[in-house]
This record gives sequence, structure tokens and C-alpha cells, in this order.
Amino acid sequence: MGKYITKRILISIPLMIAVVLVVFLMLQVLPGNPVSVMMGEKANPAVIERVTEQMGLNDPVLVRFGRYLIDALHGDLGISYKLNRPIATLIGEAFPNTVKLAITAALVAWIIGIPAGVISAIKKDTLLDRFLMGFSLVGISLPVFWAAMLMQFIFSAQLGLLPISGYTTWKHMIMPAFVLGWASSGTIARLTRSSLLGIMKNDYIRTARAKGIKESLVVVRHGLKNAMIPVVTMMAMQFASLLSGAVMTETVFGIGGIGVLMVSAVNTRDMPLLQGSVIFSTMIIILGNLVADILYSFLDPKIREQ
Amino acid sequence: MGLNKMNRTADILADKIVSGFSMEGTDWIPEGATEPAVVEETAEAELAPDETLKEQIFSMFRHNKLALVSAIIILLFIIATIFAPFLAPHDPNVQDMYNRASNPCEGHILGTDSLGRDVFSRMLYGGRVSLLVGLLPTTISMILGTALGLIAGYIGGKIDNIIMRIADVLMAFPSLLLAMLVSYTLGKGMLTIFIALSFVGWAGTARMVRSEVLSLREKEYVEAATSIGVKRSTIMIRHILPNCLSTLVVLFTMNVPGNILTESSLSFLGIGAQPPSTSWGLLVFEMKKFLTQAPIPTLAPGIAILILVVAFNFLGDALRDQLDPSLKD
Repeated sequence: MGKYITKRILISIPLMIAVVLVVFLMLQVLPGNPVSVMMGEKANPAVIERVTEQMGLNDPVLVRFGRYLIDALHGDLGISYKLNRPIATLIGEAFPNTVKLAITAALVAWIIGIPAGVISAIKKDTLLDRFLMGFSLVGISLPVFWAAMLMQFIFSAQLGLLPISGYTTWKHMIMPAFVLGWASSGTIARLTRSSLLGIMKNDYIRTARAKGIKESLVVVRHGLKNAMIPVVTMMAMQFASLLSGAVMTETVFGIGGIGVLMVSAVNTRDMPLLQGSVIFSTMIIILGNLVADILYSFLDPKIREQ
Repeated sequence: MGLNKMNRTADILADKIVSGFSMEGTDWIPEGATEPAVVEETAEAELAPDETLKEQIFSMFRHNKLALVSAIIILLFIIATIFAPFLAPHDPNVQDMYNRASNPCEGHILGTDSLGRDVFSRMLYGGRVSLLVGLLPTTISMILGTALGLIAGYIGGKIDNIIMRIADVLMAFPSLLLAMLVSYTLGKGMLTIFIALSFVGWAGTARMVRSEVLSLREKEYVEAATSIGVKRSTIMIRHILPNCLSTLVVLFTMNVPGNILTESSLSFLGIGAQPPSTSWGLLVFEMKKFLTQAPIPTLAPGIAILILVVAFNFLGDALRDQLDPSLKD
């Protein structure tokens, strides 16, 4: 058990370094000097040359990578070209919004997804099952930006119930949470259904039924308890993905989170900001998957025993 | 957004988790699906794997009406976009400055966009982009993934290690983020999206094919071929690849909708298709400001995306149940 967790953690470290390297190389192979981009066309070439030397941009790529990695470990992701502020600060300001959105969306996803999956499994092959699975599939297929605009049109423009964008009061949080939650609930519902159906085939379920235990108790106490193991793992992975920034939802609803930070970095060609925010996001996903793995090993008695 | 793509992969991965858990779970396999799986292992199926695959798909369409409807919808979309010049009531680029961002009216069944162009006509042309991005990069990435997965699984050793570690790194990124990185480096536009989706998406396929190969290479007929001295490349292509075909068909159908969604998201962000060319995502993006004034032309392209993606997902589900229940349980 301890061995398993140590092994998982040790595998994640080279993966993280490799991810940073990939992002670094992808953004550094660009021709053109970032300093001249930063200073504009009219800058004095001698000044550009001096600043380039000062910033260490003439060093070999691997030296720069090593320096970036060490700085990043100290919480220094460089300074944004366009906003002229430390990237770590910018991420620090954006992240709370992303966290709020992730928590509310995940709650919606779980509240819709888990019951939908359980009901589908119990009522397998009925009309209700088909309807719920259809609803889940539409959720998975949803172009999130479109669903967000549809909700804005209905609830803000037509009914005037909710604010159209921004992220200050709890009213602002409803629509984004619902859009993102619906999109995420599909996966949960489908997994809950297939997992529960798989569990209900087991011999111990037949034994429980033979003993005359009420069907609802069989499902909840014997079935669901085991069926939830992969679902909980999935929930952890999905939550990590939500924490890494919901680019589309944040963009449409004007939520100043990590996703919007990345989009604006692409649009304003702010290389260090893009580099920092993408690395931050990906690290969260890797860590989330690691947590999911460890969670799984805790929950699954087969692995726990080892 | 990348979440959908992630859900897709996670869906498959998580289903794999279940597999280590549930006992047999034959419950979800429709009748007849298990028999072909057994037939596949016989020499007869070896000689003509295409036919059994075709037969299986046909029998699926006979039994599963939803899959049939989905396939017909996809075909209709393809036909409509191919014959866009004949079907479009207007030239998609002709502007009508007196009739901008209007709701449906005479002559414009879905209204006009911000420059007074006919939205229905633009949707027909824009659909070409969505379908092309759905099909072409998916094909390229799957060919790449299949080749690398075959090599990794069959040859093994150091090569396997290198290929799979690269795949791990690629799979750590959400596809939308990678596409954004590539678009920063190569510039905005469709070509960037093609490259990003083609050379990034192979990792999932490679992982799947590799695991398939690992079990196939232990089969007697592979052993037999090896013992009579058949070349390794021949074994991979003639003996192992045909048996991965059904998995590949399923994976293909499941990867297409993810790529369509990624393209529309990127175009909506202004990173994908660039004017004057168009795509469904770009159409919504251009009309964003007119949501309250002209909701129908603004939201219509999104409905097209949703219908197409849902159709692909239904078809993918049906194919999976029919051809490769192992992907599910």
C-alpha cells in the first residue's frame, strides 16, 4: 500500500518535469526575440541587445530551462510582458474564481450525475433509463459556449432572473455552475450506471437477495458502496480538470479565472503568461490524477490489502 | 473545451477501471456480440476480418434504430456540406448592409449575421470545416497512434518505453490547452488546428492499440507465424492489425465528436477558423454581441454542432456495444 503510493508519486515527478519541458520548448522555439516584442518596434537595438543579455536569453535553451524550473519551484513564474506584473500574482488572483466555479460545477455534476446513474441502472432498459442516458449523452456532447449563451438568452435576456455575466454575487454563480455541471454530469452518470450494473451481477448480491434483504437496501448497502469506487476516482479526476480552468465557461460568462488568463495570453501574445498559466493548469491535472489514483487504492480493498 | 475530450478519454479509462472490478458484466453486451468475438479468434475470421466487421456493423444497424438514425443524420450533414453550393439559397459572402443581424425573415430562413450575410448558407459552408476537422485530423492521429501502438506493443523494450512515456506526457495536457500552445507558436488558423489535433491526439489511440497488441501477441497463430519465420512487420500488419480493427472503428467514432467540439471551441475563442472563411464556432463568435437582438441566427450554428456531435456519440456507443464490449466493461 505505502509502496504503491510512493511508486505513484515517484512516477509523477518526471512526468511533471517533462510537461514543463514540453511547454517551455514549444514556446521557446519561436523565432524572434521576446525582448523586441516587449519593447515595440521603435526600441534602440543596442538597448534590446543589453536587456537580452541581462535577462539571460542568449544562454543555451537547457540552461534557461533549468533556471526556469528552479525559479518555478520557488514560486517565481516570471513577469507578464503585457501586464508587467508577476505571473504568480496574476494566477493567485485568478485562481479563487476558478476554484469557486469548479466547486459549484462539481456539486451540480454530482447531484445530477449520481442519482441519474443509479436510477438508470435500477430501471435498466426502461424508458426512464433511455431518457436519463440520452440526457447524459447530450451533456457530454454539449458545446459549452453555446449552452452558456442559450442560458444567458433565456434567464438573463428574456426572463431577467440572473445577471448575464461577471462573478461577484451568488447569483452570478448559478448559470456557470449549471452549464459546466451538466456537461460534466454525463460522464458521472454513465460511469455510475455501468459500474452499478457490473456490481449487481456479483454472487454476494445474489446472496443478499436470497437472505430476503429489501431490494433498496441491497442496492444501497451492498451494490452502491462498491460501485462508487470507480465513480469517486472519476469525480476526483474531473474536479482536477475543472480546477485547471474552464476556458469556455469563463470566457462566455466573463469570469476572471485561469481559463480567461490563458485565452488573453494567447490573444495578446504574452508568452510568459501563457507558459506560466498552462504549466500551472497541467500541474493541477497531474496532481489531481495522482490523488485519484491514491484515493482508488484506499477505497478498493483489493489494492488496500496488498 | 478540453473537458469534453477529457471526459471521453476518462470515460474509456474509467471503464477500464471498472473492468478490474466487475466480475463478468456480460449484461450490457447485446445478443450476438459475444459470438463474433469468439469467431474472430478462429482462422476463418483471420482470413477475412473485413467481412465479419461489415456484417457486424450491418446487423447493428438492423437492431439498433438509434444508431441507424444517427448514421443517417451524419450522412445528411456530409451530403449537405458537399453540395453546399447547390443547396445554399444565397452566396455566403454577399453582404446586405440594410439587413444586418436580423431574425428569420423572407429569404433568410435562419436570419442574417452581423454583416447581413445569410446564416443558413454560411452554416452549410461552415459545416465543411467542422466535418473536415472531425474526420481528417482524427484519421491522421489514429494512423499515427495505431502505428506507434503496434510498434510499442509488439517490439516492446526500450522503444515501447520511449513511445509510451511521450504518450503519457501528451495525455497529461487537456487538448484545448495544447491546441492553444500550438496556435501561439504557429499562428492562428485552421492549419494550426489540423496540426494540433493530428499530432497530439495519437497518444490515446497508441495506448489502446498497445494494450490490444499485448494480448494478441500471445495468441497461437502469432506464435505459429513467428515459428515459421514470418517477418515481424508482416506479423504486425497481416496478423495483429486486422484484429485491432473493430477497436479502431469504435475509437474513431468516439474521437471525431471530441475533435469537432475542440475546433468549434477554438474558433469561438477566435483562435481557430479566421474570417473570411467560416466555421460553426466562428459563426457563434461573430454573432455573440447580437444574442438578445437576433437569438436565432446566433444560436442556430450551435444546434448544428450539438446534433452532429450527439449523432456521432450515439453511433460510437452503439458500435462499442456491438464490436468491442471490452471498451465498456
